[in-house]
Amino acid sequence: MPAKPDEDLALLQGTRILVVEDSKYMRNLIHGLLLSYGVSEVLEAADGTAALKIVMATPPDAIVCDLQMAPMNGLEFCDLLRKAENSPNRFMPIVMITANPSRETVAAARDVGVSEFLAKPITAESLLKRLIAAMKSRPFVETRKYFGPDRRRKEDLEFPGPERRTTEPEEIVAKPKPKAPPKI
Amino acid sequence: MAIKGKNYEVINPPSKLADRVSKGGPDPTEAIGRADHAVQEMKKDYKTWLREDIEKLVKALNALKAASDNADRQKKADTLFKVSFDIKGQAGTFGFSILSRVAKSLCKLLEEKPTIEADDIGVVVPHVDAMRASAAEQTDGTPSRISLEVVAALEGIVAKRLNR
Repeated sequence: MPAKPDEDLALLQGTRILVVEDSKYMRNLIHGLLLSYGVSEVLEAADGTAALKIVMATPPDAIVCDLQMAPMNGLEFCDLLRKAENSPNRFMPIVMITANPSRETVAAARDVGVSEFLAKPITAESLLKRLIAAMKSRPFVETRKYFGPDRRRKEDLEFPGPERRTTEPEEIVAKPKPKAPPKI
Repeated sequence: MAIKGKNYEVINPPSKLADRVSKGGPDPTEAIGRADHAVQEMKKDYKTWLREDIEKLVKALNALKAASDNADRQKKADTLFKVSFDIKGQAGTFGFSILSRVAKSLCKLLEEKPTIEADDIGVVVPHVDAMRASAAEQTDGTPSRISLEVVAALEGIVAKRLNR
């Protein structure tokens, strides 16, 4: 049973979404699902390199991207989109899909700034939920090492655990800033 | 508006989307229903696609069997992993849960074993056979007790092999 009423689904109406998947079957499936949700235009790419060309020429409103692809995988693609100085939209909502939802994979996806993560097998409802969550406006955080959605989903004022940072996140002080951001 | 710290910045992204989209979208239940229907329609095509994937799988297995040494075997195992990995994700999405589970078990062996040796082929073969049988019978939907036992046995063999 879908969680939220119309206004969530309204986010998808009239939008253009890019599907990046190396499997033509999964591309077809996701394409069909997106049209069923009311998405107006679905663009397709078979890997990260092809996706970058599309993103530069016809920026979509959101991206649904597989993780395992060659020559450029989903993580590399997302990293470039978030960090490149000529990126058409560093805030692009990105849903990352994978058949290998290991702890390491999820952490790697989080660290390159993926908006939402979805494990295969996908269902009509699971993809819709993740896509809506990704497209809802959410603050972004920029540090020396990270650019992407704020990882904190909500503020817990009664959190009983220890503070893991004082005034500045420790991790971002450790490494010097890279000389220049990459280019697409 | 951005909140700046010494080494970080919190930025509220420009919300172009909210301005552009219409207010009050379609009924979500209907949208999910339409999407489910689309999956069911594509399931018919998937059965054809699956035959192609099984052919690729058998070809990759034959190449693995014919590998001349460990380095060559690893290369062939990588190809087999890729085909199996695709089947794992796709089969599950189209409701072929047993096929997806067997593919997952094979992926686990190929991914977690540091080196694929000649005697590992004895574990790979029953996985490929089970996947062929599952695809040929098109056993989607509720799995039978026998198929569950077969897949559990295969998972057990892989666990033992990885712990050796």
